[in-house]
Amino acid sequence: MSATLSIPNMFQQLFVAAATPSQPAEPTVKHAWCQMCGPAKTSCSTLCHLEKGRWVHVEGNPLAGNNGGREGRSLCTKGAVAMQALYNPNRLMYPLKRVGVKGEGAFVRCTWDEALAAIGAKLRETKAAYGPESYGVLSPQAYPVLGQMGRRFLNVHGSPNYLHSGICALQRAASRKATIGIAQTEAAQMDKSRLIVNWGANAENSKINQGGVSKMLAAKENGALLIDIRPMMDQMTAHADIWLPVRPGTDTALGLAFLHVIIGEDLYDHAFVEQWCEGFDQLAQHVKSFPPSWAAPITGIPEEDITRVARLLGTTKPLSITFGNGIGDQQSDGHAAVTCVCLISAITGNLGIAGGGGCPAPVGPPLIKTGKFDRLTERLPRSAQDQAEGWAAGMSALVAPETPRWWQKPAVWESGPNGAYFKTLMNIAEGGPRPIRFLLAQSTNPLSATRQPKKVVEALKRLEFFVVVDVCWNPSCAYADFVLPACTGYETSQQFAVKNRAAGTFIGINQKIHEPLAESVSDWDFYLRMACAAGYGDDFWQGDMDACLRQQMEPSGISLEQLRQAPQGIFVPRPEGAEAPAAKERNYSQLFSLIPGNKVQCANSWLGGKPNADGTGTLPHLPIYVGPPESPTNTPELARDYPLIFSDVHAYRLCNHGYYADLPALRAKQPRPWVRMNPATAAAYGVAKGDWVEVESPHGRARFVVAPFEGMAPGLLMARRGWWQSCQPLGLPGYGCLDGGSDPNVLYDSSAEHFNAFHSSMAKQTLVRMRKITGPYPEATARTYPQPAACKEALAPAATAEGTRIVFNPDRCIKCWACELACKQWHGLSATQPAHRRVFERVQGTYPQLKRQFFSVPEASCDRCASLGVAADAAPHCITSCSTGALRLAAQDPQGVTHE
Amino acid sequence: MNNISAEELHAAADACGVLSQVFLAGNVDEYLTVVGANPTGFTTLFPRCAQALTGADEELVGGEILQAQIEYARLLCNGCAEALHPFESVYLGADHLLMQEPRDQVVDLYAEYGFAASTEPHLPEDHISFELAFLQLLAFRSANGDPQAQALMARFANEHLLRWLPAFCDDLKDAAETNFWLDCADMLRGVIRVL
Repeated sequence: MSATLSIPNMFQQLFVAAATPSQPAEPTVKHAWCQMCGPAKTSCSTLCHLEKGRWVHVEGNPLAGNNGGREGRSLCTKGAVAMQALYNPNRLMYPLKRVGVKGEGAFVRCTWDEALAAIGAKLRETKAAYGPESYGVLSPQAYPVLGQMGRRFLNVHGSPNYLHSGICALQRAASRKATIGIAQTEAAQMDKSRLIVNWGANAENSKINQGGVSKMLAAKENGALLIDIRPMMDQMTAHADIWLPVRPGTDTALGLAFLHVIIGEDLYDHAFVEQWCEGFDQLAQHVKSFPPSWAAPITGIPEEDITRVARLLGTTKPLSITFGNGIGDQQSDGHAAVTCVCLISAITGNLGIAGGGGCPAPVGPPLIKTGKFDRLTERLPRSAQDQAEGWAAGMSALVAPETPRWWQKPAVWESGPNGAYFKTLMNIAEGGPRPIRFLLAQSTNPLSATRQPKKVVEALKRLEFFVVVDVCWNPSCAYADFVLPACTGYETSQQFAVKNRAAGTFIGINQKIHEPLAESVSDWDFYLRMACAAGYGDDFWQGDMDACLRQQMEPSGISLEQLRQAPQGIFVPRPEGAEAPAAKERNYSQLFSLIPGNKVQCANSWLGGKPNADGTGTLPHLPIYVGPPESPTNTPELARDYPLIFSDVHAYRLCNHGYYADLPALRAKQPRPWVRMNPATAAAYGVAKGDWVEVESPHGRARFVVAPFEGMAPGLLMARRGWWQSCQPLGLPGYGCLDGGSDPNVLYDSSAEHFNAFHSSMAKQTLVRMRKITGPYPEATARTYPQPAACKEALAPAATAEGTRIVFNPDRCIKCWACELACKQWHGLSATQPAHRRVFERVQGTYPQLKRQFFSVPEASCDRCASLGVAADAAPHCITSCSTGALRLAAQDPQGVTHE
Repeated sequence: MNNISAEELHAAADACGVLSQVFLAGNVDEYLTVVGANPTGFTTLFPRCAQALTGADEELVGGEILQAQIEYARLLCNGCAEALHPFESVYLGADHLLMQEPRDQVVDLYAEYGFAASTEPHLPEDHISFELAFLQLLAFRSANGDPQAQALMARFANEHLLRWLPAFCDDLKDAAETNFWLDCADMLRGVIRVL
């Protein structure tokens, strides 16, 4: 060895004497808020079981009242395998600085000090040169870090440019507020509903363990009629009494036809309309033009079915309508669609009544009170133009407002002013006025989160400074100046939440399972460090997140240390005999107080005639059907060359937006990017299950694997997004975000003239053509791993006493796979090994008259978790993990069936 | 593993020290600066680098360093979609994730010898740097005739290192394009051969 090279004694650097046992001898349990619905989310409280210092099992925390207050230990599909997110080998570990050309992927490792110094300098430089509004942050979804700390940073820096996705809940929230104020159409007391409509909502994929699915199924068991309005027979649709397979993007037409029947046949609540509606006569006149015969060819729903359902809406009370992303947030006329839904609920007298819209049964005041996070909203500058126009602070500085500038006021906004994600990026790409110069992307891949990624690439190339903070590398990182490693919520103790319910109030904070991997830091700490680097330390606790948390905890009387030492959180029971106040029914003066005139806007005078979001025109008073940019009825000539309708499912139970396709437990369930189509469509194109096809629209092309499915109309294709991550453990590649990959976003129109004029929603419906891709298709990744450990031996089934049999109720199963994945997780089975329980479905009939049933059955190897120490008369983990109660012990569900 | 000479073991120990450090810290510049100053002294340890840097000026050395740093970030810091993952659990664990049973086993093995991995790097204890550092000690002590070290080294090799390092070495060889990391792959192969 050369004398000039000093060989390091790495053993001395990396090892210490082990005076005590190297790992905790006893298993430990730690509390964590599940983050599988997004970073820093606090929907479900979980108990994380550690053995030898590593996280091996997870279950819902029975103390916290998960699943809409149902308590228990259930979790959803993703939650059941959350440890895979923590132990993902793709995790970013060190700050990276770009040294090559954007897109080349040439980065070097740097220090946090270097990265933060550069970021701080750039923030000051761009603020001085272009104004504080030249800084913007991408919002992929609402989560506390961005909505609280991120917003505080924006306000202190002086920028309003929080760039909301434009395809999510805020769109329909704005439409609802503009029409019915703070009233809701979905019943809080759904057990009292007689008619439930699930319209473009997807809780069986997006909110499995948050109560919405369970209460809908329970209400149906209680005799309520369930109507599902969605293009595809999803899992909840399979339980519906009536399915209206509406053509994607045509829900406004359906809503107008419903209103035509309800008003035309005098099925509305006259007393309510007279006292609480404004513009009803105009609405009545307007909808005369939209009979079911008009809507039928547009929606693909027979006229008689439209009429039948409309009459049910008009005559069945209480009525609950759950509407979701599929209609309000991702359609050109999404605002009109939601307006129709709200008006249906309103004029039939269903707002604010038990079993109708809203009207929660109060649970009593919270017994633990924490302080609110102060976003320092007053620090956002109000320009002279803001004042002259009567706008809220920051409006004139929004590069591309998501909703009209005059509309955005504290009374209606979620956390502050919103710009539109895609429109703001296009402003950069197209050299528009006052572009964002410094963009922060945190937990988002802009090449999958919005439309037309090739256009997004152009924006990122032109962007002066781009910083990505994420847990793993995503394709947009190649265009960043700095890529910074975020740790997961399981590696910090900075996320607390309070949950109040009838039984009492719960508070919990994440307990650290591990120290942050390598040099990753929490999203919270990143913001604090960035703020200090920019010179804002005085407003950000000088970088001390604990100080921020103590400020919020102070009113509770519980110290941060106390909370961090509680492995199940802290629950304060409500005193015995404490009575909750009665539910406030028909509290209309409060519900409509947001609306000028305090009345439901049947013809909207609040919006009508006022400038639209872009300031290029005015908004209509009445809901108008526009339809998708490309559709058989809107663009019949185009339909000759592109004869198929295409859309995608926005949320899915195996991913969170575009993330988690790299986790083996989830990717194993659906390894390849699928496109569902009716078997007749597959036959017409000469393709079969498992064939690769190229799907091409006027805007782009993508490839998918054929998955024939009877539960959809012929001529319709439905895909899922989020396939850009490879899963090396399974030898599966990522499929790319750009043309030729597998992201549906390449197929959709992205011209601003088709965005919704009120809230900028963008359509996710288009026309396509399809062809089979022949020849060998590159699939394998560059490397394979050695064979995994041998499969565990089959377990001997345990004898079961009556009452302790596992029974299955098919009326409650939504094929979420949580039981299957929980089984694997608890038994330590790998993604490629079969669980001791199998979920499958049976489809009988053909579209549209078909029955879809789901089953969860034990395999011969199931021992009811006896090998895990679960007593013979206790519920095994498949039962405890089930959110809907489809699996129970016989004593709990005498109607349940025993497995064959 | 029988009949390994003390010289071979010392050489392996030195290689483990170098590799453990570069895999952890990516301090390519420190090594290539030394090689660039005296290429003929490194024709065994860094043969490709030595050849490339023979007669090289400062600019060329700087260029070689930068490319190796870029490759380190890309392949070993997850700076791309198809990075390498130098953890035993990823190669041998059932789901090829971090922190699986292989990690538990190496932690127990370290403890058997009276040691624990430092928490400072905040990495799982089966990261290649930890395992090579441990091997560095065992190889050094084995070269000095320590029977306990020799026995443990044989176990460590058979139960852990030889089950995954060859595959990792192949992956590094396939993925790397710079002289430095190709030389590191060969250096690691040399260590494996000794085992």
